[in-house]
Amino acid sequence: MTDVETTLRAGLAALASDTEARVSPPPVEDVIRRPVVVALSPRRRQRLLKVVGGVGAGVALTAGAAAATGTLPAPVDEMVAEFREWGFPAGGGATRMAVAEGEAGTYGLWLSLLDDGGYCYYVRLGGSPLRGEDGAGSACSHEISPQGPGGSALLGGWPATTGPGDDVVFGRVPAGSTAVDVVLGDGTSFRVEAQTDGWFVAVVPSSVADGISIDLRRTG
Amino acid sequence: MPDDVTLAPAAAPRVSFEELYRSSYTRMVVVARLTVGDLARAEELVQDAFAQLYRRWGEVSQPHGYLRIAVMNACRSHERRRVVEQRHPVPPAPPTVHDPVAVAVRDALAALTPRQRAAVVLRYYEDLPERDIAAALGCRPGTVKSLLARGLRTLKEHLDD
Repeated sequence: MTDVETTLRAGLAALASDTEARVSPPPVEDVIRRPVVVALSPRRRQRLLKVVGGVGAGVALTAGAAAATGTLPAPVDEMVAEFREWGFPAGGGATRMAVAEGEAGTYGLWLSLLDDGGYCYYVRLGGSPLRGEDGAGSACSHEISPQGPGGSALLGGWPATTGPGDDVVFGRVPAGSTAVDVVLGDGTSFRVEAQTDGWFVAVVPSSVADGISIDLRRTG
Repeated sequence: MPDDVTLAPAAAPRVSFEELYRSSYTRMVVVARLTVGDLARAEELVQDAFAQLYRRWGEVSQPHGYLRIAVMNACRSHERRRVVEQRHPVPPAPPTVHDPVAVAVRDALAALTPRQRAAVVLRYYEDLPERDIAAALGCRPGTVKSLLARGLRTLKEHLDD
């Protein structure tokens, strides 16, 4: 261990002790009643984006949905390999389930079904070599059946607030829904239509100021 | 659902939500505070994460892993908000730590990027392997290596001053 690592561990331990001495968990009942704010963000630095969720995007989606193993864009293929590396048996390649256009390019929501049930999904900014922390959000789950639109829950990820870059929302509508409302803290909202099998992706318009809260609500 | 949730395939022994809350709350607050630098904010973020977990409790097989990811996502979101807040700076909170090593490490951590800081905290406080850090941060293990290497280099520069 280097001197830096030794000093770092000692400092972190001291800071942790200070925190532990000053923290007292509130009653659990108070915590579970808190409104949920979901954080996330595939983001880039571009400023202006248009929302293309909607029925019209389904046309472009049809071609994208045909993607399969062996024909995937290299970054998607790498992401699927990474899912496997993480221990998720994504042996079936990936399928693009939703798209949204923006100034930065085309955001695609890719879905990989797992051999043992469940799925991984992944948002990619097309045409960009940047992935992971720079261009995508991803999630894997064995918990929820990928068959048919949603369970009872609205799935997905979105930033808690708008920021100085793209704000991408994505996920899957609950069963029985065909769209989701993106509700912003400035009092405005817009509707995003689900595309293939209930999956959606959209970008908050850049006209929305930074620091505005973002929430997604089921509709329809 | 947190955005970058990765649920590991192996099921851990199931605890109740209340047990997990009691056993993990303070440690998660420590992680969040080390990452965002502010105790009150850290508690807010951790409570939000527990509220998220509670709503997903029946669907999550590895609650602690889910919780950690939710906390790290919340910290990342907070860092974005802070960019906005810094346009309207508020007076800093009075210092509460007086241990010279702790003060030096705290100040050095502040020089890191949010992602570097998160990786360093998970590695050197939580003692997580790179793979688990990658899962928590939603990036590749190779990215974690890079974040840690750059973070340590920056920390060394500040701690050597």
